Amino acid sequence: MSGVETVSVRESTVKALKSKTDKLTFDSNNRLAVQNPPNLDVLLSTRASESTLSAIKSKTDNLDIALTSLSRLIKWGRDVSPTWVHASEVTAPVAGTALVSWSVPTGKVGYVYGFFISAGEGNDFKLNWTSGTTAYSRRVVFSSKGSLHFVDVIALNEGLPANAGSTITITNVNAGSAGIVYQAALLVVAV
Amino acid sequence: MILNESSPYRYVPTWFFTDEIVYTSGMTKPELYIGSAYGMVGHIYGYYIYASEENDFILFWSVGDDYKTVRISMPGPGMVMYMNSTPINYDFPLTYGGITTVYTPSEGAVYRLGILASGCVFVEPL
Repeated sequence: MSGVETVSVRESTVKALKSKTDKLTFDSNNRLAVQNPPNLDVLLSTRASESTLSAIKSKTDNLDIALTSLSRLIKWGRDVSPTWVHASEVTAPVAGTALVSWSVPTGKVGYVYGFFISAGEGNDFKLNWTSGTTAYSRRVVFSSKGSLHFVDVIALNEGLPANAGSTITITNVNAGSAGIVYQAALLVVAV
Repeated sequence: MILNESSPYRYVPTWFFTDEIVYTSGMTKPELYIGSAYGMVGHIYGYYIYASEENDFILFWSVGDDYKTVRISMPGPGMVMYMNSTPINYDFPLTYGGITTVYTPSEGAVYRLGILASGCVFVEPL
């Protein structure tokens, strides 16, 4: 590179730098001025207050609760979450033994969403509840030993809720034979 | 983490299976054990039982000395599979659980056991 060419390159570099520095401005105290500065007064006035942010948070927290309620409504037809009532094994129960029972709490009605029955021999069983002034039962027949786990999203007694304070049971119709094991459970909810 | 019918904070359940077990005399009866994983609660959503012969099975779960069971009676060779989105032990999250056979199997009988559970890992029998 010749000396003339070198000077030419340096001049172009200096000109480029000058075009940049010309855009800088300084105030009377030689402080660098900021072009189009943000209006901090406006920003501060439009910023959400702590109370507003707190209120928004409480709403989003409730969203979790609302989603849970919605998912329960979709699943069970009402905002409930049924739970299993378990009972221990019973050997050779006499006829009419309540293999499992659940008392509906005061001020509530009871819905049955499922049941479990296990028996070491054939027998008939009854799921019993009272709605209004009528005692209802559903008979479940076992032709031989076995177990049955039943659950549905529609309550077995939909439209016929068990009375407050009443007891829902599963009973064996015939007496169990000596040494034969029985067991039952209920999937219920109080509303 | 998934949203389900009871809580948005439940964990997705997973199947725990034994291998297919061909019983020979002297071996341990077919059984499957699970325990709650560190920092989690265990929920049982279902079970699977295959047996080539009649037998009874005990599905159990416990917290400390508190213990609950469900007896599943198989009248002959067959398979039963149950599952639901409401845990069998909804109000009683387990620290230890499993399925065991009640009666000693016959020579050559085939078994396979499974549990659908959340918050659990395989464990050795206590």
